[in-house]
Amino acid sequence: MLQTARPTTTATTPATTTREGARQPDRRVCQQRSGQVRQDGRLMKLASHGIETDLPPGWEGRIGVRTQPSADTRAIGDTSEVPHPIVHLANFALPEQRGDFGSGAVDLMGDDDVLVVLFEYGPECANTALFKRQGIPKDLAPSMFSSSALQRTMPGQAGCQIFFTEAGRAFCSYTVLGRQSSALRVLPQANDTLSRTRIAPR
Amino acid sequence: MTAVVVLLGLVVAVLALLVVGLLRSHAEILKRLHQLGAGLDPDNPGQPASPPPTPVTSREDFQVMPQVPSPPDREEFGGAADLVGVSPGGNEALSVRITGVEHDTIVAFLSSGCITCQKFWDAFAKPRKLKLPNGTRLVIVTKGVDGESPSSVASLAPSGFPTVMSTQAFTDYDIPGSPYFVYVHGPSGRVRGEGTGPDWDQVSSLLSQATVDAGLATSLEGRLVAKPDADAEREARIDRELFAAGVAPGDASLYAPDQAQDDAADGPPDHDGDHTGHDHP
Repeated sequence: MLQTARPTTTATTPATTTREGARQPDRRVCQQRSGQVRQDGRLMKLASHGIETDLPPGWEGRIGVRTQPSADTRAIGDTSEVPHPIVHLANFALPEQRGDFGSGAVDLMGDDDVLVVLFEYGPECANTALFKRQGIPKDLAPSMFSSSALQRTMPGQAGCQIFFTEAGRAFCSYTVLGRQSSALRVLPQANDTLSRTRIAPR
Repeated sequence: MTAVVVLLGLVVAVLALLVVGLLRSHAEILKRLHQLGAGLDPDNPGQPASPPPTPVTSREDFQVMPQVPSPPDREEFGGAADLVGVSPGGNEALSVRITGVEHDTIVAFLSSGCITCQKFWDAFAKPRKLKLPNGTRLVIVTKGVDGESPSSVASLAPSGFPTVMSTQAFTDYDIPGSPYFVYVHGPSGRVRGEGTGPDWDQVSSLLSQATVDAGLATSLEGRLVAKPDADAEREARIDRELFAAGVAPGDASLYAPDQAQDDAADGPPDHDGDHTGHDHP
C-alpha cells in the first residue's frame, strides 16, 4: 500500500494488526477488529473501528488501519507512530494501492468522481484549536474547494480539508473532486454520504 | 473335363459362402438398427419411426475434473450482489460495488486450501499477464473468518486486486465450490457468465466468450429495435416542430412546387365547393 507522509501521532492506542507484517492475527482477533458488516438493500453498511457508514448506490468504501511501520514491514513511516483509522469513501472503484490521503486513487478519478477521506489523529488532538469544529462536515459547498488544497496537485481537480472533533476523536475530512467544475453536481452525493457516516466514542 | 467341373463347383461354393456372409452381415446391421429404434413404426406402417430422443445428461452423470466443482443445480445464472466483508489481514472493513456501476466485474471465488486455487492465486499475483477485458475489474472473494484462515488468505492475496472475505457472498452468488468465477455486467447488475476451470487461461476464455456473446446480443438488439424507434421519434419530433411553426397537416408548403401546382390545377383535396369566406384566384 502506498503511504503518504503525515503528522506523527503519539497516542497510546493498542497496536493494530498488520497486513503484511509479522504479526498476523488469529481468527478471534479478526472477529473483534473487523467490526460489523452487512448489506442493507442498496445501501451498504460498513462499520469498523467505531466508524459506521451507510453507503448510497454507486459508492464503496474502506475503513481500516494501515500497517504499522516496523523493521519487518514495508510500510513507510516512523516506527514509533501508532496508526489510526482511515476511511476512504468514493463513488468510483477504489484501487488497492492507495495512500492515506488518496494518492493512487486520485490518479484514476473521472470528472464526476469524488473521494472522501476521514483521517483520524491521536486523541490528544481532540478539541484543540485546529480541531475545534464539532461534528462531521456535511455541508460541503463548491466555494470551499480549491486546487491549492490538494495533497497532490492534479489538473482540474480540487480539494477541501476540514479538521473537526466528533465523539472525542480528532479527524481530518479531506474531499477531492475529479473536476472542480463538477462540484455542484457531485457535492450533494458527498454530503449525503457524510451525513450517513457516524463516529462512536473510543 | 472333370477338372473343369470340379473347379467350377469350387468357385460356386466360394461364391455361395461369400453371399451367405454378406447376408449375415446385413442381418446383423438391421438387427442393430432395430435395437437403436430405426426402421418402420409398428403402430403406423409405412411411416418412418420418429427418431429416438436425444439422450440427456443428468447433472449426476455430468463429469468434471476432480479439481473443479460441479455446476450448481439450477438452470439459470445466479444473482449478483455487492460485496461487503473484511480484508485478509482483518484490519480493514471493505465494501465493493458490483451492481449499478459502469464497469463490469469478474468475481473470483477462491479458497486458501484447494490445490487448483493456488494456480489462480499465482496468476493474480501478475496482473499484467491476466489480460483482463477493458473496463473490467477483478475482485477476489474467500469465505469469511468463520471458514478461512485470515493469515493464509493474507499470504496469498495479491496486492493489486481487492480481496474480500465474506461467507455471505458465497450464498448470494450460489457458489458450488472453489474455484468459481462469475462475470457481472455492472450497469444492469446481471450475471453474464459463470463457471470454472483448471487454470486462468481456460476461465478467461470462458468469460471472454460470455462477454462477446452478450455484446453481440446487445448489438443485435440495438439494430433491430432502436432504429424503428428512432425513426418514429424523429417523425414525431418533426411533426411537433412543424405544428409549432404553424404548418398543419396538408399545408401547401409541405409539397414540392410541381406537386402543389398539380394539386392546384386539380383543385384542393376534399373540397366541398363551399366558397363562402374565401376566394379562389
